[in-house]
Amino acid sequence: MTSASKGPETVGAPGAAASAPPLLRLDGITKAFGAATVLHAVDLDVRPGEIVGLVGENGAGKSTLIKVLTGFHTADAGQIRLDGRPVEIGRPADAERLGIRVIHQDQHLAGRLTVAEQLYLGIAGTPVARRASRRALEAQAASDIERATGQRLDPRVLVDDLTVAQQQLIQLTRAMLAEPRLLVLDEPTAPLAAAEVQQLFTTLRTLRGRGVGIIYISHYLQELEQIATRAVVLRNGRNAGEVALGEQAGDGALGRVVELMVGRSVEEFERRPARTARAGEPLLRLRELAVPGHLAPLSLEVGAGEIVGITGLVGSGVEVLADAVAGRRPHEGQTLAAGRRYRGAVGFVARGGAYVPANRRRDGLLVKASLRENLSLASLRSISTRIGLLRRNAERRRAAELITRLDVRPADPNAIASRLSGGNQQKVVLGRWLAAGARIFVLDQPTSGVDVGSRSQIYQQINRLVDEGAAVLLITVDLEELVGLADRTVVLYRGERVAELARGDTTVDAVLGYASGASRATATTQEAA
Amino acid sequence: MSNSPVQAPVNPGAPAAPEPGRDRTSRRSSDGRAGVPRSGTVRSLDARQLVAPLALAAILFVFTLLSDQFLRADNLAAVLNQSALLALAAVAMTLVVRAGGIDLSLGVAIDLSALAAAALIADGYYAWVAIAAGLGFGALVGLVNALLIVGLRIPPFLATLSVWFVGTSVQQLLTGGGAPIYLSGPRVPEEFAFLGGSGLVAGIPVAIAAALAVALLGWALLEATRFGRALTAAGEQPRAAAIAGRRVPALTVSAYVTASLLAAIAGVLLAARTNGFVPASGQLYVLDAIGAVFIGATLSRIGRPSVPGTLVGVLIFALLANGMNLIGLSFFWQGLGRGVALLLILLAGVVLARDGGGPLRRLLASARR
Amino acid sequence: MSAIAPERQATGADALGAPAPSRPARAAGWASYAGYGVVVLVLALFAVVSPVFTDPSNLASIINQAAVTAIAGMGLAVVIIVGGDDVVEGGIDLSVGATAAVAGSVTAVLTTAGLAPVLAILAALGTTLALGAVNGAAVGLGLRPLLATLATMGIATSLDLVISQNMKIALDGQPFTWLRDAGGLGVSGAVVVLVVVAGVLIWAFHRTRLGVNAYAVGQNPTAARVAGLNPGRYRFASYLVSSGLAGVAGILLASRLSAAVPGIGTQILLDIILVAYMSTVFSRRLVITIGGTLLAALFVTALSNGMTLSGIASQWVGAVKGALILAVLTVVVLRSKAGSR
Repeated sequence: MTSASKGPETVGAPGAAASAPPLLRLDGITKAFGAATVLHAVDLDVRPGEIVGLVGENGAGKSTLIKVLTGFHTADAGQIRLDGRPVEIGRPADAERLGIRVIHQDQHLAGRLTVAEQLYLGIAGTPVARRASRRALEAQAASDIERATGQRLDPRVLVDDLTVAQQQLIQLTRAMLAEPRLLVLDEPTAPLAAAEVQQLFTTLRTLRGRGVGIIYISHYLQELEQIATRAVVLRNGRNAGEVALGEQAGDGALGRVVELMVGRSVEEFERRPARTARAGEPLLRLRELAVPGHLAPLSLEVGAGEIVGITGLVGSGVEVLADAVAGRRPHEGQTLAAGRRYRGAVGFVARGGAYVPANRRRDGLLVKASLRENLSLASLRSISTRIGLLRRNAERRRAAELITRLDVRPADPNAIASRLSGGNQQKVVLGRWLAAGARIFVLDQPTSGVDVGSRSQIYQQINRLVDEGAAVLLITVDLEELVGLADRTVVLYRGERVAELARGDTTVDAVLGYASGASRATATTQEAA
Repeated sequence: MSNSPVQAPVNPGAPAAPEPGRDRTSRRSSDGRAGVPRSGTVRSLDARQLVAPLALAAILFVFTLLSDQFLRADNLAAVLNQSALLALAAVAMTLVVRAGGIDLSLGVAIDLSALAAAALIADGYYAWVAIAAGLGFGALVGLVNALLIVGLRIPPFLATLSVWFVGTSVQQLLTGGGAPIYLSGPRVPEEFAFLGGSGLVAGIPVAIAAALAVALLGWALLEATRFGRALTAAGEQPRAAAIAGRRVPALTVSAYVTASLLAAIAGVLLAARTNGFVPASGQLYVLDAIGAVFIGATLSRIGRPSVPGTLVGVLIFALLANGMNLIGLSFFWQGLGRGVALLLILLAGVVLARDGGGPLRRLLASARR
Repeated sequence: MSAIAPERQATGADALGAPAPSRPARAAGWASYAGYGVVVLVLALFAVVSPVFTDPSNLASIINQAAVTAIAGMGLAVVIIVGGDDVVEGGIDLSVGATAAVAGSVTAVLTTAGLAPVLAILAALGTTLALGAVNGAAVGLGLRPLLATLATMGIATSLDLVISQNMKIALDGQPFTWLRDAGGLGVSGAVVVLVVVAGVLIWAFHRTRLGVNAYAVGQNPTAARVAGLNPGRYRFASYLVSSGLAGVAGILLASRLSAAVPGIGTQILLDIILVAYMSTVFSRRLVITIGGTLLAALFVTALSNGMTLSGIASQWVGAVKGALILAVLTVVVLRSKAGSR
């Protein structure tokens, strides 16, 4: 019933004493790195037994705020108070001592240990003496896990054989063994399936009942609504507002959250001039492409001269889509390039395909090699004689041309690729495919880790390619990039297509709404071709 | 086992996955060095690259001082002759390491081909038949390696180790328990004896000529052909190579087969030179070949093995051995000298590399503050 | 209730199909039962073919012989456990054979020169520990274990030759004869040493937190660091253990042969590597284990013994060992495909 106003305003959480000081209060936290101020006087408070959602776009400052809280960074200004008393958190050990624990997305676990062994790894002073039998250890582990999370886990199972949700239980229990006052969860439901999400929530409610304060960072707004009492929204390093969630909050709460996240001042970023020509013949066709456990069957076509954008959160299937389309990952369904089926990366490239993968340093670039070598990697035939001898001059010439065309810096074909900035590295990767004369581009997070200058240069290149008739499948979580480039956008949520937006409808908040599950498409899209 | 490539010090505070939406003003390139040109081309010089040449220079210098015979033409010629077979094996190993693997069974390829050649000669076959058989056996070893490594995805070290195992006992079996084969002089066909060094090719002993030819071929293959370029990529970053459309499995197979074939050439020459076959004589080459390849890799700005580098490594070993011989060091101390030299050179290579050295480097870096 | 009704709650499953709840059975566990099965089968075969096989004196002889490989193998296993079994960058110690040989030579030479046996043994072990320290330091500086221990192997081999001058040097007197000769129960002193060493190692690795930590360091150094462990220290220590135990094995070997034999190092190296990797097959988790190495050593020795008794020529033994290691590797590869998510 209560609808949140624009300014910061909190609604008391159920079960918390209104008069007691908040468990945690961050007051006016400011942090700058060199010239860039990442946090401007950010406030946040958490009551005992309260679950507070922390939301905001990437770069909004969430991770920096948490790093300040956990001692990895020191705030330039502002104060941290625990139970009303100011505390100093200069190092991670300080935060740990104060009872602050974080559950990260990257679960660092040793695969061939049992649950019991991994649970107590490196924890000194556990109740189990060194000489206790394995059985006693396992019994203790089982009871600790159940007590901490309310769920059961067989302590004899190997970590590798657990589901991600179960591995999370180990992390949660480890954190709880330290009897924390405050728990921070970083995107905990991204890798989980529906039933597991509910189980996690059960665990969190148990923890909440014990008076633990929880900061819950997530983009899955729809889920956040089920578990958190309010959402604190950051934007551009500042408090953008708070929105009460849950039963009392009413229907518009998530919409309000999205608005606050995005703000009203989204500029049209490098939006391509709308083209009148319709997309040409479908160069890339996906027919019921599915990756079991990640991606439900998806059918899609990308025509010549068209950029189709695909986006979604972690866990939406977006991560496996690029690999699957490029032939790097086994999948069900069919993939066709220029009308013919292809299998595997070799087949894809042979049909004019180009894959710019997300993990640039491992999969995209030959980091040790020179730019020249990198640029020719996909087109060796065109710079070699019939018997296979490389034509060095031709290679050098072509490399120089590409470097000039793409404005790669340093403009030296002999430069070692690892020395280049991310943006220049990505230009080299793109250049490789230009050299190969590719027509079908699968771009996976193409400007991740790329500076602004290179970014716009890359966009120019993409636009130019498309104008010349290439087909581009743009897989990205950068919503502005999507808005600026895509002719149409497909949004994935938990492995399924939940929306397809025409160019005019593609706005950051619309896309974010679908990607986070906050909005549902009221009308199904046209039959996928 | 899931490993996230986190560099020490660990910073678990950083969320890993990208999130939707982005704030333009706080964008920065991931390494924070947007647009700043970095030094470092494949042509520039790094401290590490000087290690091998300095070692070579040091060896030349020291032994010239200690022995007046060292720098004489006939001595150096003998050195080259001695090291020819090692050079062959080392070029073969270069191929394999370049392809991202290692081959511990190269000695087996050498031995089996020597065995086949010697046995057939002893049985009175034509020289070319014996040679062909020798090469065939070598290729067979390579095929087995390829099958295990590419087909069964067994890590190269373990796969070639087991081929080494099996190959050793195959030798035993075929020789009825390890009996050597001796070829009596008159019964050896001319061609075979020629290979053994009875004659010269354009004024240089056969073995050296063969080694040079193979080295040139290997060097050309790796540096000047499409195949070599693709193989190098497949060896350094197989995923990236595959994405770029290279056929990684086929490249790997050809690397192992070719390497074994080259080793087989060494085996045939060995049989010709020693006029017979002595079991397990090929083993000696493997470890030195590996050492030479990795010494050679320090010569490259990017730590990439190469034929010229490997030859430098071979030269280092050969000159060291020769020098120690000339100053009368007992055979046993020679081995020690070789081993220590290898260790020192490799360590220097690692510590002096731009990002190498681990704790030592950090220690030095902090001292500089 | 919000109008945005999450359909996921209703069905409890989503389009992706909820993954199955945890399965306590280890999917690849069948392989270890297959391992035990093969062992039992082969031994039974030998027992049938040659009744002498199961004679107590023969069995005792097997155990006596296995002691050397077992002890050195267990040392190697420690290195692989701590270093991770990724064979390119992971832990391996190629110098164990040569180090064992050095220990034998040092002991023999010093004893022959009149030094008290205890001191000779200490000197030998000290030498091997020094070699281990060289390995540990080299790896700590960033050199790949494969290369570092390869180089040390060369050094140790030559050291052995230098010390022994490539001659067989007799090793006699106590305690060496005690180590060699069958005493009570038909087992030699070497077996006593084996039992002690195995006992300590198995207890350390299977029962203490140190052991769990060691495995963690090898499987995921990042996880270990996050948990507060120091992988570097574990790695350095592992090379000391490996060389130290190789030294012990070398002394036992020299005792058994009543001499330090030149070149013995290369002969035993492959066996040591074989039994360390073969231990995977005896482990439910399909990881390298100390106990498994012991079993593997016993099995491999029994295999040679049985084959000899059955009249199979010794040449075939090598082939069989090679086939064994291949079988082990295939199992290991299968495991890493099945187990990783």
